[in-house]
Amino acid sequence: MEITDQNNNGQVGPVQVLSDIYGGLLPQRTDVTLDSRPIQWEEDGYTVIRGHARSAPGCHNACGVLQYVKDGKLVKVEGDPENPYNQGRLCSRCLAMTDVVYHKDRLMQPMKRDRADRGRDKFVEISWDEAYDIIEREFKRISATYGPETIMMCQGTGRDIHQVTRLNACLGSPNEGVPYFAGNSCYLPRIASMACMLGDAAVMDCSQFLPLRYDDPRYVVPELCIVWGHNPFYSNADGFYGHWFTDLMQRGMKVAVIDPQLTWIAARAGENWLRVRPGSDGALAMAMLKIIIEEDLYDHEFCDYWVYGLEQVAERCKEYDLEELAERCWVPLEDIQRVARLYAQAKPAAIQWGVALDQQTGGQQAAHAVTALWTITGNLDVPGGNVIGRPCWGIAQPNWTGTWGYDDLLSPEEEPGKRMGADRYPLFGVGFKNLSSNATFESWEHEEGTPSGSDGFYGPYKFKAAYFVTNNFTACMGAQTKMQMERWYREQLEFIVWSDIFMNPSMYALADLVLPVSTWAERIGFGGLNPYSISCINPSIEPVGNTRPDQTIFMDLGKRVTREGVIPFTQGGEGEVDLDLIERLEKKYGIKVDTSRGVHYKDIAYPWDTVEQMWDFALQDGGFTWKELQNSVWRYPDFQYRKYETGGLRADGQVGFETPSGRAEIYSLVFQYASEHAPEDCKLDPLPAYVEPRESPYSDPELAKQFPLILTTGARIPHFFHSEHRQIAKLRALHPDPLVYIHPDTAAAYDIHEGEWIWIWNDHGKCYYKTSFNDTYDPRVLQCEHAWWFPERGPADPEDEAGPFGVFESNCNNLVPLPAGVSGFGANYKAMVCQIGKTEPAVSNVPDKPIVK
Amino acid sequence: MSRNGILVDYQYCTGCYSCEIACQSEHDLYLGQWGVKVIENGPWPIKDKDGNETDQYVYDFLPSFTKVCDLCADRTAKGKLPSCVHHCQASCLKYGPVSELVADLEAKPWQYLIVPPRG
Repeated sequence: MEITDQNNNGQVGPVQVLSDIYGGLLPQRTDVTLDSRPIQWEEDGYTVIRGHARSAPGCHNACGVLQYVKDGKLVKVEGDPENPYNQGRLCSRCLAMTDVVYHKDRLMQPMKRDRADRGRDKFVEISWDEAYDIIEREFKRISATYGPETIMMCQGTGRDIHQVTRLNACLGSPNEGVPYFAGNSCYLPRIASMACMLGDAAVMDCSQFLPLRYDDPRYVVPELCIVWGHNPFYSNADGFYGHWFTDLMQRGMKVAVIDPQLTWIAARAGENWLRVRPGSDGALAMAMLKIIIEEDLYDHEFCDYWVYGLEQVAERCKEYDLEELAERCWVPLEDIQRVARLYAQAKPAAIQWGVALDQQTGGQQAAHAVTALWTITGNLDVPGGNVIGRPCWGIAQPNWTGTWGYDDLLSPEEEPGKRMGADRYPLFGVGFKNLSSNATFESWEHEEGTPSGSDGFYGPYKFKAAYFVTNNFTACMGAQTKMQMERWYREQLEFIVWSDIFMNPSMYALADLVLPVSTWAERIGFGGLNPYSISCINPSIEPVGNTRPDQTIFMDLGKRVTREGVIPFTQGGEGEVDLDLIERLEKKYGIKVDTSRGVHYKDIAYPWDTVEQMWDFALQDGGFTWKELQNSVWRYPDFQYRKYETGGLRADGQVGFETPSGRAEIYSLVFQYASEHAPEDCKLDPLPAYVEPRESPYSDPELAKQFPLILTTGARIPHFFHSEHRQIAKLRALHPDPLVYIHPDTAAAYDIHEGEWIWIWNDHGKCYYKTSFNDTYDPRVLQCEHAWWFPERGPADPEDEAGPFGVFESNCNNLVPLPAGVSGFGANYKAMVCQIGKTEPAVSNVPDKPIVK
Repeated sequence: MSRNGILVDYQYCTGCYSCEIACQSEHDLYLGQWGVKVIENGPWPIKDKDGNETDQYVYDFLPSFTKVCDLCADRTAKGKLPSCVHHCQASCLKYGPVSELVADLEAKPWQYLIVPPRG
């Protein structure tokens, strides 16, 4: 695949570097590993169909499954023992898949509701044709009245719906993302740091790139892994199957764990469990970096050859005092020293991190420090270290990173020109094509019709319509969600369409139009959300009820709403026509272009008759069709270690990394360049640093007197994917109530008994949880589970304070401050000050005026 | 005929509960009925003789097999593993003849051997 990024105008610099990360790679078609066993067979009256579990319902993984079908019904799902990814294993959610597919509450028919009735029981069932007519009418009206950029696509996490980006692109909108999720606080802060520093993203090597897995002779089991803010067995985040950890521990790997919570794996780490104060991971990372540099424990040869900025980082470390850092993160210095030395001396050693790093004010800076740790110790891209993963055959946009179609369907004036926040926060401008949540917050509060910034709030425009693709943000992701729902989404959006497999509280509160979608067992597709392999989502049954797969809906709608006209930069005329681009589009889409006419948006937006043809197009850089993928179930491209030694990372084929200096930049030139034109309050630090969370005992001691405890959140429950699965009786029985984990001494001080329900609050809001005693937490720290709602309680009218299905009641996100760090990334979902008690406090979950920055 | 059992390496059981749901789905059990149920022990810090907390912790999950378990006789008759063993995410369940599993039990601590009555 040729490197073509029309959006950077051929300019060399950070834009070029970052745009290359998820695309523009030479396909590696050599030495592909296929699965050559049958994809289907008969067994005891069942038809068994191999495939992969993806979404819906939600998951970040792509586990191999055997689907047992009888009389057109899915009877059970088993793990495919011959799939390299999960090797036959499955979690409770897939094992209860038939309970999801045939649940009595599944949405079966499109529905509409008048905008005036949002939040009320006024849905009316309609046909798909009518649903599509309404969407077409409203998207076209809003696009013509306010501009296409005011229409946004909203997602949850990790769903296989990234193809929706093509739909917003064909409208002319560059806006897709998670606009309710303060600080875009999930993986993007870490991805951004890695991508700028390394030119790529890295992940712990558990042999997952190699289809032979642990038996591949190239693989080396890490001596040690630091598990940082991560509970892999229960979260299985970001294409990382958590139980690869037990595989490696059974093969001799030792672990150290950094977590406020004594997770199962922390209990195995013993003395090497570092019970960090929530939100202070950056202090711990800076201390480790300082120890490794000043005790001369780094890999000199690797740093000499491949690292940029070691001297500057060493200077930065001198500015910090180890005792102070240790005091800040509530970990004894001797423990930090021991783990830092163990890590630096183990060969190879890996770090596997979790979303905790993203959910704090200084998350991006902490990620910078952690990336520097594995870089200077020479654990980068080596077997058993942190290895650089690239999209298989360059295929990433439709199945993983989104932005599918942006290159061809949006002009530079539109992307990044019109993308919300791209001109506010440099990291959103240079590489990551999501809309910025915090820029969106400001835009809601900006006075409409006045110039951006004139009232102190960024606001080039306000969003007018949204398509929520399987999301439930009032339960999960949203900060201060009752306020967001009532003040922003309900009041300011003119049209809201929502798709999912079940009615959820967010949809009930807001949707004007409901689209019932099919599960992964009912549709074709391909995964995964990872750089290891391309896997086939292979249906075993017809769509249940009158549901349709998300991707069918995207294509059906795309054919209706793609804007009219000629793509300006392909139009004939003096000095206008870009013949190279036209040639590329002709080849890519199999079309013939009249260069005097140019290419119309409709020529290339959705030129397919079936979803399968759409997938053939999406897979073409791999050199195989969807049917060929189906027949092979999965395909692994050849994987290589130490790619910086062979020219495998750079577009120019030179050795080194795809960064401005060609080295792994622990002093980031991209951060430096990108900040040059950034607003004063958004400039990035090219060096790693510790940034104290907002509203902490150190950044606001007065506030901390009023709210003396620290609330962290997100303790994972293995049977639920975030806010999903609460209605699956078999799974819910395993964990019926929302729990807050509290030290018994703290509880005693408040006269709280185990199992009692308590209120937890701060200035932003309150929530109500059942207590579970746990004396392994720091007594000053409590931890809430997140994403709770109660399907069994049924919907409620907008006047009910608890909200539909009780969503605002046991909702720790009510307490989350909205502002992010200077990068636009990182909000304190996991580090909030709070107070607790048995009586409901006089705190509203809907502040009169939200503090957005 | 030799008896069969399941060897549990509870050093590695993470409490994912896949075995419970695998069993319930395989045998279509009513809600609240289990062939295997995971018991949680901990987390708690181990105290020294003076009552001070140490840096060692107990946090174990113990799959407990019930009278309902028949070791998936239908599956094993076809050469398959019991569903809980097949799906165990930590790969800490091993199915086989008791005589063979006893040797494995001898070889490594932190394990127990279960021989369900219907196995």
